Amino acid sequence: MKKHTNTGDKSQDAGQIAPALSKMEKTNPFTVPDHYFDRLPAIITEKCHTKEQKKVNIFHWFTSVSFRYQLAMASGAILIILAVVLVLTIPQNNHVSVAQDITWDDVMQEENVLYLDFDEDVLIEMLAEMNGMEDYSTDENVENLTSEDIIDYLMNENIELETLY
Amino acid sequence: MTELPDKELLQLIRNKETRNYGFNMLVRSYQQQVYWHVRRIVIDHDDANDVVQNTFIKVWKGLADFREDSRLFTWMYRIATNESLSFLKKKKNNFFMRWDDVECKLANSIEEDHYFKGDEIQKKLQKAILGLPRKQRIVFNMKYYDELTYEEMSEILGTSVGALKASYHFAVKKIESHLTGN
Repeated sequence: MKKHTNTGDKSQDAGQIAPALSKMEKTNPFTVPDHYFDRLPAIITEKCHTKEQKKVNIFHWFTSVSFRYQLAMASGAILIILAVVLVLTIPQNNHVSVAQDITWDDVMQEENVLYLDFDEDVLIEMLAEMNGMEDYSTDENVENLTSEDIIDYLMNENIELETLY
Repeated sequence: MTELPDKELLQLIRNKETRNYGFNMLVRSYQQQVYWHVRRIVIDHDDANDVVQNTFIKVWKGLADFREDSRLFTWMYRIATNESLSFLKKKKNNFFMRWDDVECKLANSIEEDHYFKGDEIQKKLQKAILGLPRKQRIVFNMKYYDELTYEEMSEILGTSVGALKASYHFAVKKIESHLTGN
């Protein structure tokens, strides 16, 4: 194992601020199964090759079929990609004029309606259902929840409020 | 086993004919450092085994694009840290489980862990470490057990040296307080 010399700031040594900790022998209380490190490199190497082999097999399969089939599959793939691109890029003309008519006041009014509809209890009930919790009414964690906890969770999980209603 | 310098390892890996041999040497050189770093984060051996394997698979995939603007060791340590944190995040399996509940479960698992051979004082220390906020725990482990310099830790974690010193300082004080019962 490669060694690393400790050139850190001595004033941060545990001994000065933590005498009990510094008196403890710095041992490793964790162990591993016998011969674990002897076997690990081979296991890892095999997994790396298995993942690569899966990629190669798909390519090999494609090149092993007849040219006619290759052409058909390639054409199909190109048509699908074109269709997706067209759908995504065709302008939604019927919505443009509506968007132009919406004012900032209209947007703010709609946002306010959404916030007025934000019911914390209903949201907690929905999240409990999503997480398979049938009886959460006596759960301490639920009692201690704040709106900020809920908002943090929604942001971390990329859940938009609108998708829950 | 003779350890090779990073430059030689990379040369072996980048040559198609010696790639497998080079990677095998790399794993043998760094497996223990990576493993123990991960193990101290996820605690359970089976979990650490999974995370370490995933780490080296990512290393294998990323070696072609490795730009050598950091050392191999730093780069792999960073991958291992991120994999460990992702693993713990998945363990927090639902919204109503608090972040520190994961660490609570890990602390309790030490009692029945077949691969934990420490005495009561060591158990107390490990539980104290698990009581730290997650990043502080990682900083503590890297400084106390792995004896990395603050500069190395800064490269791995992307945190300033000053912040790391502060983090370690508070971690040590909290652990001391836990050990002395204050």
